Amino acid sequence: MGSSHKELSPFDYHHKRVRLGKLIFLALAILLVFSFLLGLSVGAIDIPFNDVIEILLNSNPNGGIYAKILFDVRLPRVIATLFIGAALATSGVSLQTLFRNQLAEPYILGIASGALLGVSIIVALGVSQQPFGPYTMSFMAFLGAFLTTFLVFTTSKAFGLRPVSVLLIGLAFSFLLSSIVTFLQYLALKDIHIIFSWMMGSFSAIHWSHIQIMAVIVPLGLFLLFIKVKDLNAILLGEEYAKQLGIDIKKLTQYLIIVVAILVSVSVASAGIIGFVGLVIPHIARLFLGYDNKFLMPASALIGASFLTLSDALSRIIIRPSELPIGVVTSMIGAPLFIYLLLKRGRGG
Amino acid sequence: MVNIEIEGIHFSYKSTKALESVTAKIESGNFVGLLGPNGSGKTTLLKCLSGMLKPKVGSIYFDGKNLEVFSGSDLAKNFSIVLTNAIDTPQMEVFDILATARYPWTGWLGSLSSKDIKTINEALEALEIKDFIGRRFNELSDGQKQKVLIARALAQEAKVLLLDEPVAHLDIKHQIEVLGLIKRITKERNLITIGALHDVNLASLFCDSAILLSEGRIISIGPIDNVLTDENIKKAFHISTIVKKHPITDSLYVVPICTSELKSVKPKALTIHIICGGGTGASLMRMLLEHGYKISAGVLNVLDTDYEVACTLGIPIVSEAPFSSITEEAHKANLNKINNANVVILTDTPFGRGNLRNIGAAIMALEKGITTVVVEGKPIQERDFTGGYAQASYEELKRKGAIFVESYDRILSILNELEGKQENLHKVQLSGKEKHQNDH
Repeated sequence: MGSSHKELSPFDYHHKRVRLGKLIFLALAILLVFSFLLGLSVGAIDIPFNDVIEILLNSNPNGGIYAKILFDVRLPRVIATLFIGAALATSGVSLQTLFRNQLAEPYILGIASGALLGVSIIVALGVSQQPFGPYTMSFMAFLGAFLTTFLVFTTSKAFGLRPVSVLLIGLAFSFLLSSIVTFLQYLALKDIHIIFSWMMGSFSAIHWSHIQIMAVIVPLGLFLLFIKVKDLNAILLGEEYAKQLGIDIKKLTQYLIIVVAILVSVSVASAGIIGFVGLVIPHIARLFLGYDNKFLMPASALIGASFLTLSDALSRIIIRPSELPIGVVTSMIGAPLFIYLLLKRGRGG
Repeated sequence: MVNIEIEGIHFSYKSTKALESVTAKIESGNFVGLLGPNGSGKTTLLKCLSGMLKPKVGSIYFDGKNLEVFSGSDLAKNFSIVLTNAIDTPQMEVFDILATARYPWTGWLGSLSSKDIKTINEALEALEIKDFIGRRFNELSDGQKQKVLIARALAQEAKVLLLDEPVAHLDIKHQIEVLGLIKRITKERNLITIGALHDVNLASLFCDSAILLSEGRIISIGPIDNVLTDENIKKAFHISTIVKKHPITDSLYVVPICTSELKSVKPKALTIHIICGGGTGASLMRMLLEHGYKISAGVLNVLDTDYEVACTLGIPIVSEAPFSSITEEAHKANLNKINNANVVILTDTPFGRGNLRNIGAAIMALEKGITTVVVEGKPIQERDFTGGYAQASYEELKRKGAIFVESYDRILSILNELEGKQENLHKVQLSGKEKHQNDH
C-alpha cells in the first residue's frame, strides 16, 4: 500500500483498504483449502484429489487403502501442520509487535532450547528410559519448554517485566540451554539422531492423540492472542504512547508471554523445532496488509498454516519414499525469502 | 471550559528529585509554555499530567476531579501527548498512526467507526496534511513527522494537549509554522495546550502564559511577559540576557549576552578604551573582542546603538542618561577608564555640544602618553555640529601626536605592534624579578 493514495480522503482510504483486505482474505482462504487438500493428497503414495474429496465427503474410515492412509496418517498430520503453522505465525506476530523488533520470533523466549533440553536429558539417560510411556519425549519437550519460559519470565520480573529485558533474558537462557544440550549430545553420541530429529522438526510421528490436545489449546490460544490486537496496535508506536493510552504494559507482556509459551510448547512437543515460520510469515503478511494487527494476525495464521502444510507435503515428496525433516524445508524456503525481504526493505520498500 | 489544578506535586526518580512543590492553575484556551533548562523537570511534569507518572506527593485535578480516580481510558480521553522520541515502528502508514489515537474510543477490536474516521480526517485537516494519509512515517521529513504526531494527539480528541519539545529539531520556518498551528488549534478547539519549549523567544511569540522551571521548582508562572524577565531567566538558566519588547511583534525577545563564547582566541595583554557613538563603534568593538583584547567604552548615552552593542557584548561602559549632555561625573569616570587603558580609539562619530567632552577625553589621553588612534573614515568637517569646536579639537589631537587612520586593518596592525612591545615589556619585568630573586 505505497504512496499512491495522495488524493484519497480517510474514508476512501479506509474503505479501499477494507476491500483489499477482503480480497486478500478470500485468496488466503482458497490457499488454505488448496494446501489442505494437497497435504492430504501427496506422500509416499499419492492419492488423487478427486479421491481425497470423495473420501472426506463420504467420511468413511473403512473405505479401502486410500481411506486408511487418509484417516490414520495424513489427516492428523495435515491438521497438525495447520494448527502449528497458525500457532507459530500468530505467536511471531504477537512477539514482534510486543518487542517492536522485527527479528523476534516465538523461540526467542528460550522455548526451543528448553524443549530440546528436555528431550536431550532422556536421550542422555538412555532411550530405554520411558517414564511417561510412549509420549515421554513429547512430555519432556513440553516440560522443558514450559519450565524455561517460566524461568525467563520470573527472571524478567526482577527487571520489572520490561519487554526489552524479557527479550535479552530469553536470549541469554537460549544460549545457556543450548550449551547444555551440546554437552548432553557428547554423552549420548549413539542416539544423537533422536536429538537431531527434534532439532529439525518432524510431523512423521503425529498421532490423533496429539491432535486432541492441539484441537483444544491452539484455537483457544489463537483466540486469546486475537483479542489483544487493539493493545498490540497501540504499542506499535512505543511503550510510552501505549502507556498514555491506558495500557498496562507489564500485564500485557505477562499475558502474551504466557499464551505464546503454551501455544509454542504444545507445538514443539508435537513436532519439534520448526524454524522460520514464526519469523518470516509475519513479514510476508505485513507486505500485503501493513501493520494493523487486526488484519495481520488472522492473515499470518492463514499463511502460516498453508505454508507449513505445503512445506510438509514437500518434505514427503522430495526424497520419496523417505522424508526430509520439516525444519530443513521451511528453512530452505524461509531463509532465502527472508533475505529477499530484508534486501527489499533495505532499498526503502 | 475546563481547567487543570496542580497542587504541590513532588516527583523523584529513585534518588534524584525531578519536581518539587509544583503548583499551578491552567484554564482552557491557553497555550502554556513550559520553559527551563535541560533536566529542569519539564518532561516529568508533562508525564505527571498525562498520568504516565504518578506524583509522590500532591495531586493534580482536572475539572475538579483528582487524576488518581481517572481510569487509564478516561485519562486518554482527556489528555494526549506528543513525546520527543521517535515512534518505534516508523514503517507504519500515517493513517494507522492516527488510528492508534482512537484507542480510548473504540471497541475491543479497535475497529474504526465512521465517527472515528471523521475525527482522523479533521485532525489531518487541522494540520494541513491530508495528502500524507497513505505515506509511511519514515518517508516524511522531520517537520512532516512532527505534524503527524500532533495530528495523532488531536485525533485522540483530548481536551488537554501535552507537547514535549514539539519543534526541537525543526528549522525556523517549520518551528513557526508548527507553533502557529498549535496556537490556532488551541484557540479553535478551546484546548489546554502545554508545550515544553527550549526557545524562550518562540515561547514569547506563541504562548499565552508560561511556567519557568529550574531544578524541579517553579521560578515563575503567569502571563508570558511577566515570566520572561532578566532576573527570572538568570535564575533558571544561569546566563545573563537582555529582555526587550520587539517593536513589530510587540512580544518580548531575549538576547543572551555571550561574551565568553566570543573570546575564543588567546587573550591579549592590551586594554583598549573606545570612544564612540551612533553605531560607529559597533563593528570595531566586536572585532577587537574577537581578537582577544580587553575593551571598555564611553561615554555613551543609554539607547545609543553603540551602548546596546556594548551591553550585548558585555563590555564595561561609562554611560550617560539618554539624549543628554555628558556630565562632569560621567566625564571623570571616562577619564578613569582611559587611565587604565593602553590604547584609546576615537571613532568617526558625529559631534555636537553634548558629546564634545569625549574629544577632550582623547586629548587628555594623549597628554598622559597613552597611544591614541583616531578613525577618520568620514572627515571631521562633515560631522562637526558644534560650529567648529570639534574641528579645532581635532587639530589639537593631531598636534599632540594622535595616529589618524582610515581603516580598521590599520588599527589591527598598530595594535599588533603595541601588543608585541607590551609582551616584551612584560618579559623584561619577569626576568628582572627572576634576577632579583636569584641575587638573594
